[in-house]
Amino acid sequence: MGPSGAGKSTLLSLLAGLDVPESGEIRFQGNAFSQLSEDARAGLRRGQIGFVFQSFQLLQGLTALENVMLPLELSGLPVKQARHRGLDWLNRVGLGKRVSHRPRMLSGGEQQRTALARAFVTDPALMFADEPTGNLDRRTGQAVNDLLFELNAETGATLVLVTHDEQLAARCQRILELENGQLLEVSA
Amino acid sequence: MIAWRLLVREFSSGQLTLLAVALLVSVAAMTTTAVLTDRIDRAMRADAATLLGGDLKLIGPRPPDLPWLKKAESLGLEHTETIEFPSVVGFGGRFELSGLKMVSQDYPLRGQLEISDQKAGVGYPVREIPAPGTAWADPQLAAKLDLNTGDVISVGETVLEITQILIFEPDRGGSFVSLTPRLLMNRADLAASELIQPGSRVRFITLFAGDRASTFRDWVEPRLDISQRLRGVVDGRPEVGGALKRATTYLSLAGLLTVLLSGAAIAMTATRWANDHIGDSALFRTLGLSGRETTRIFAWELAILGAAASLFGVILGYLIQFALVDTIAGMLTISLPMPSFYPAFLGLLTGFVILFGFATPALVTLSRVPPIRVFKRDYAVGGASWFLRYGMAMSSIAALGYLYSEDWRLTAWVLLAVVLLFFLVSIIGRLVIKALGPLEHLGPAWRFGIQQLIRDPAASGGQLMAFALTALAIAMVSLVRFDLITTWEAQVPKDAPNTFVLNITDADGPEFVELVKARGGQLAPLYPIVRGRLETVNGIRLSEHLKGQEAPGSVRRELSLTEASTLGLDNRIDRGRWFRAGDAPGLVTIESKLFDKLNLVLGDQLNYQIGPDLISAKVIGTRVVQWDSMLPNFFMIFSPETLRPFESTSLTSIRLRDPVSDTVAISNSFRQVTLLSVDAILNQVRGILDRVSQAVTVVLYFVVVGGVLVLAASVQTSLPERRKESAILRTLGGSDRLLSQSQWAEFLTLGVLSGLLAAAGTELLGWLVYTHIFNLQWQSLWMIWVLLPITNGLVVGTIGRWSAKEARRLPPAQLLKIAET
Repeated sequence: MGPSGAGKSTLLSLLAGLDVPESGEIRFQGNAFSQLSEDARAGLRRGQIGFVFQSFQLLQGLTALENVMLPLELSGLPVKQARHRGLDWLNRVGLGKRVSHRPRMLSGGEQQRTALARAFVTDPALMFADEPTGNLDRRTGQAVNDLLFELNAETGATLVLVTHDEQLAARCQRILELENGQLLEVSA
Repeated sequence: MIAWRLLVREFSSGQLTLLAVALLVSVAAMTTTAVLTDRIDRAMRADAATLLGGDLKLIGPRPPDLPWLKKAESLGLEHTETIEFPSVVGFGGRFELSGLKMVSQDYPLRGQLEISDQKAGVGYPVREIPAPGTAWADPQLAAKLDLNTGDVISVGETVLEITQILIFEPDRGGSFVSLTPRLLMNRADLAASELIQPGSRVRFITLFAGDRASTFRDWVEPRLDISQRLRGVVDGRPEVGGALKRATTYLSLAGLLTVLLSGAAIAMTATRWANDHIGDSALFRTLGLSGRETTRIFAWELAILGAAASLFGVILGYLIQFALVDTIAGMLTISLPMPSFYPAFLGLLTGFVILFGFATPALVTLSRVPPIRVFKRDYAVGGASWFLRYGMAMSSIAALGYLYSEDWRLTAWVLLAVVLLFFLVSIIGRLVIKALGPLEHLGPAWRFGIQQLIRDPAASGGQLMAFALTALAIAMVSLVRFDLITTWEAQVPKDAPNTFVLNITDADGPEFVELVKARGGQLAPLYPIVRGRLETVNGIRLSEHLKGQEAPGSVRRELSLTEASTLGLDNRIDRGRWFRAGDAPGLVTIESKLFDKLNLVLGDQLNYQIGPDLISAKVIGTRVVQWDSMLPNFFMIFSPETLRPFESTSLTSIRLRDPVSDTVAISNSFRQVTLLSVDAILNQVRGILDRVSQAVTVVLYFVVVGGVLVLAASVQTSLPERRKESAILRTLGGSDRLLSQSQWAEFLTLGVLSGLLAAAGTELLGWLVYTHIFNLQWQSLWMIWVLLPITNGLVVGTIGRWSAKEARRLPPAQLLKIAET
């Protein structure tokens, strides 16, 4: 948690290897991100790290199903199997009937649920979520949060979540606050 | 003003950069082409004007009216008068019928005279004319009268001293009109010679030169009477006039295609600009502005942008063309005049027309954004109608096309080709893109690349059109350049005849041929010449046959008639047939255009008056004649033996190794034979054609550079999406190699496909433009079907990968941030 501009999203990017720190080191499975090339970092993320963004970040040209299949295809799974698993996950997030819709034809809640399916489809060990409901109304946000925690519990991934929402934070096992560049343990 | 403030804010935020850059590049490209073609065109005309001695030539049986000269002066034109007529020149008891030419100060207004200090000497250019009391004889006259410098000749009642040998006069021409030996003298000696008498066949020639020669031409043309003729470079000297006309059309074509390329770039970036502003428009509506007020804000924003980008574009265009001319200065042997301001005006106008022509649909879209779009981003926005979208674009291209080419027909053909290409891209292009599915099996990179194309057919269709247009433009200008230069080279081949020979008698014929061959010369066939007049068609007098229409000038007087058994290399039968072995005398073939003007049909029986006799001949064929080939050519050619009963001398053209010394030697052996060296004229024509070819090549290079720029700009328009996609793919673990290969696959496919479409477009436009505009024969080339897809695939692939490089290099977190701003 932390006020706007505290650097929560930057920290998340660094933790996920989406950017590299100017000083210090971040290790994932024993590998220091800053010592790896962009490609090697991408390789580490592939299939092991899932993302949920505040602004969904779906590819506009792809259908809901194709968006969910994408990480599987990137890890080299044959298209047929990727499609099968993608459909399965879209059914699990309640979008079984919207598989061929493109993002701009889906509501905000539906887009974020697609993003959830995409994040979980590879069965990642680590899941990052950046204000996942920041762009949604309260009720839809609530439903998406419920789904996120439910899926997380099912898959057993480690979820790192950035939020303003104290109620949402309260559902996490450990809360850290970022303020003036310092990370403080609020509760564990 | 809110529009201004918005513009400044958007510009600093980078939102407008793409449209501004596209407009700037378009205006700069079009200004550069316009300035360059304007300068090259004027340089070519000035260069070719040396063949006429001026920009305009007025020929008549009396001097022009004084008010005409006053008018010319008021338009800032220089003028000088020459008088030409045939007369006898005497020396040492011998007399020779010569073409006298009396010139005044300032002659020639364009080009230079070349003289030599002695017979068979080397010529050098001078800026003077013979002083009063002196004259310059050409080598032919010098050979016939055995003249040398210092000799005194008699001309009419006066005597003149030969001070120089006249090697070259720029406006003499290579036709048979000017075949007699030449004596150039000062106009001041005319009165003393007392040569002009009532009934003398005198031609008064007034040369005009100056920037506004065409204005003067328009003014004076309606005032000419039947005895007067006005000639410009194009109609006055067909041997370069045709080339000049085609080169000018080529420059127009290049300008038109640049307009098209720019249009494509603006259309793509304007659509992107509108998409970026849908949210803003919804917000304005929420804040209480009406649709009209919202449109006004955006329209003003575009207008200010248009003005600024056009202004900078014009300045940039002028700078680029200066740099270009500097770079190519060593390559050009033609000196270019300073640029005029017309292209600047054209550039400014272009910026606005092209911006609003292609951005109006975008404005309409913005005016229709409902306020609810603020909350619901997925709410559909009604776009402009099909008619508005394409109608505006086509009309602005048509208007600009005409402004740049000043040729309605050319503009119409190019537009037609674009419309057909558009349908081709819309229908076939999209079908093919959809059918690309199987390529996905080539691996994940191909799958992503191809999916990119299949998923957004509208966007891929747009890019396909832009790439196809670029390839079409470059292919067209390259092909036309190649064919024009080939045609020009063929027009004056290296071994073209350089001397015309007249008055070869039957008795001299064999010995003459022998001598020419002995000196290493080459000969065309000998054509016997008989003068005769066409009298009747199928027994009806020519004037009655033409039903009051005026007969063409060539048959109003005696014609040079000839007979031949073989068809000249520069002749082609287009109707009927040529003579066969065994054909009886009494058949005739006629030059194709004259045949039409005389309302003849094959099988007509023509009667000719030759001296006191009449002969009759049946028309069996028509010939297309290449008059600018420097070979002897005739309107009427009879079957062998038809002219046998008549006394004739022959003419031919020959190629001499050393025209100066060979002419003297042959003239000395055959005194009655007239030799006219056209070597200097040939060299002059060859030089001009060379320079026109260079000019055309420079413009080609420029269109290629412009095309590549437009290609890069259109790839740039898709960059924001690419950045975002790259970031997402990288976040999900996609490697650089995969991204790079998928972009390569996407652009390579787009390039190859657009190359194929461009090949189809080139076939169509090529056929239209070649047959209807350039009068060249279009031959379908399999090369373009192979070369266009391959080169286009490689170029588009490379540019695409290069442009999207940034989207692969930056860390995903940064890319996402850029994509979201």
